[in-house]
Amino acid sequence: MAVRVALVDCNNFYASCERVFQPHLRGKPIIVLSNNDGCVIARSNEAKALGIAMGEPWHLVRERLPTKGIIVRSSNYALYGDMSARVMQVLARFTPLFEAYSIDEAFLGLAGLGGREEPHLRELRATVARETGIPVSVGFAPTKTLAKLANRFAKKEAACDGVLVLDGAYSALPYLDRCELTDLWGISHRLAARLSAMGIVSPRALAGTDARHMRERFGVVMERLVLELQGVPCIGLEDAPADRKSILCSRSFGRMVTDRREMEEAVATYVARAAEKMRRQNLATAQLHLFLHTNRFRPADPQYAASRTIALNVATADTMRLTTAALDLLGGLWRDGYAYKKAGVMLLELVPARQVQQGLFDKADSNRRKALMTAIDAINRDHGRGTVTLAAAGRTQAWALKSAMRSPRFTTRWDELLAV
Amino acid sequence: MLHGRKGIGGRPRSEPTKVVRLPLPIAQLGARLARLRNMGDVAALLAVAPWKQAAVPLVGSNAACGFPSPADDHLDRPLDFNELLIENPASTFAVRIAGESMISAGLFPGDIAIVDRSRRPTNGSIVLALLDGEFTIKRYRMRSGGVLLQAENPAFADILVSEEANFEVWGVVTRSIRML
Repeated sequence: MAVRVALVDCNNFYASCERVFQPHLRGKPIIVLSNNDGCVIARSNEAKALGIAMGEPWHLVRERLPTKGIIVRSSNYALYGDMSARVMQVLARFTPLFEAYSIDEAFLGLAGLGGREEPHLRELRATVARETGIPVSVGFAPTKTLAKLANRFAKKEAACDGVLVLDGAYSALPYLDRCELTDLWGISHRLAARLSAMGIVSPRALAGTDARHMRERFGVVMERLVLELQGVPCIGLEDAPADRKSILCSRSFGRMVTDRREMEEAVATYVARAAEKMRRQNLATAQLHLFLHTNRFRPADPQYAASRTIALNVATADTMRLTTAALDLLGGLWRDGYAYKKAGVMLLELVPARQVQQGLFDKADSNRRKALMTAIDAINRDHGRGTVTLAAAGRTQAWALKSAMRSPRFTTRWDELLAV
Repeated sequence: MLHGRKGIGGRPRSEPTKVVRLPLPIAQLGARLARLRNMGDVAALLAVAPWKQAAVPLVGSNAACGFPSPADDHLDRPLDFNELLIENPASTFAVRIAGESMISAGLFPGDIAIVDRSRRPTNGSIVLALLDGEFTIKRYRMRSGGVLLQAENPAFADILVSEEANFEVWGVVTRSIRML
């Protein structure tokens, strides 16, 4: 039996999460700002209609527009993460073939519905809305790529009322005619330009190409894309998310950092955070990358940006080893006399922690050290982040990020519950 | 009986041999090394399966001598209050009571009300409702004229939800928790 694919995508997810507990925000333009209240990372439809762009720095929006009436929120990842888990839990009840694709999207494999797809998916949509309060759109098609396309129209077109079912590649054609190449899953602006140069200027033209020929010119990824547009499934459902290739922890500072000691605290804090994420996935790293820069949006200030990577002789998951390495790197990158806006730590070359190669001169993490890390992670999980840290991370953290406009963490903190 | 090429062990045909006595664990090392090759894990050398994790109940006798605990055969899981409070985790939310309109129903300021969005309200349910953009907790009554939101405190008036009001039931209150 052929499995077909539904892509379920939450509408304006962050703004919708805010509205579940703050119903007075319905119908109003909402924007959510990135960590540290820097840039716009989510917009409600009303905010999109005002012409606020994704990624736009908030201070530029403020200069450009009268912001009275626009609801501004700092990002509340505790809330969004919890609401995402709830939506995924409801969706997983509808099929065992389930892939959580991002915080607000999931692919569902469905088979054996024999023409009852649309009522089934409408029921799914209504259930998610009733149980979690989050509105979703559903695109259904023979392949993932077409399901993405269907979802786009399910969301945009009032006539679809949130659900669009495409029986096959043929029924996708009218929709292909109504979008651009860059609207397709996996087509970047650069790729679209290359295709246009070959005379393939529209999604329908791309769907009409010969997949094998496209493979010769662009590689196997493009071949799959073309086949998927033609209704041949090539991208399977992955039940487990692939291991990450790298782990990043970077933040803008709450205020400019000019003191080296403060920068060391920030770097040590980011290392600890990234290392904790890495240990949660049972990984270890053999390469650490550090970067820092001044505020690019203040061209009048002296500008400096630097980054460097260090290769570790033996992969490690030990916060102490990584902190030592990162502070060494910082010593080489730091320049006095600049006002730093942001720093970040990236862990690269991730390997499963159980398969670490011993080095000739350096030993892998000792069992004692591993046990210490496990204990620290457990304490910080049970008693709140930052309960146990290295002294290098400091206690005051005057540089820490602002999230001045965050709404309460309604679902994860007893002292921030909705009061009625 | 194994057939075919030996995975490990064996000896070159031409060399002489000698019979020796070995403790069993060492004599079986070859077999364990074969497992190591299969799994790529040093832990295979130990005679345990390293990926197996088991939760062991804390209660239970571990005395090697003396009378075994008669409770050993009747171990049970400890009480889990989530079972008592939550039917559908995805749709269950906690809300802090602030007002006094429901004190006769046992909802006092400071209590935590458990709200299940998956439950549909029936006549007499206590609901968390949205009326013209404001949250309120009241008893839900179906009347011929429409929905009546009934307070459980004589000091508060009931609210008859008018046709043009913007009304929805956000969830059904299923439990309340009070710290004494």
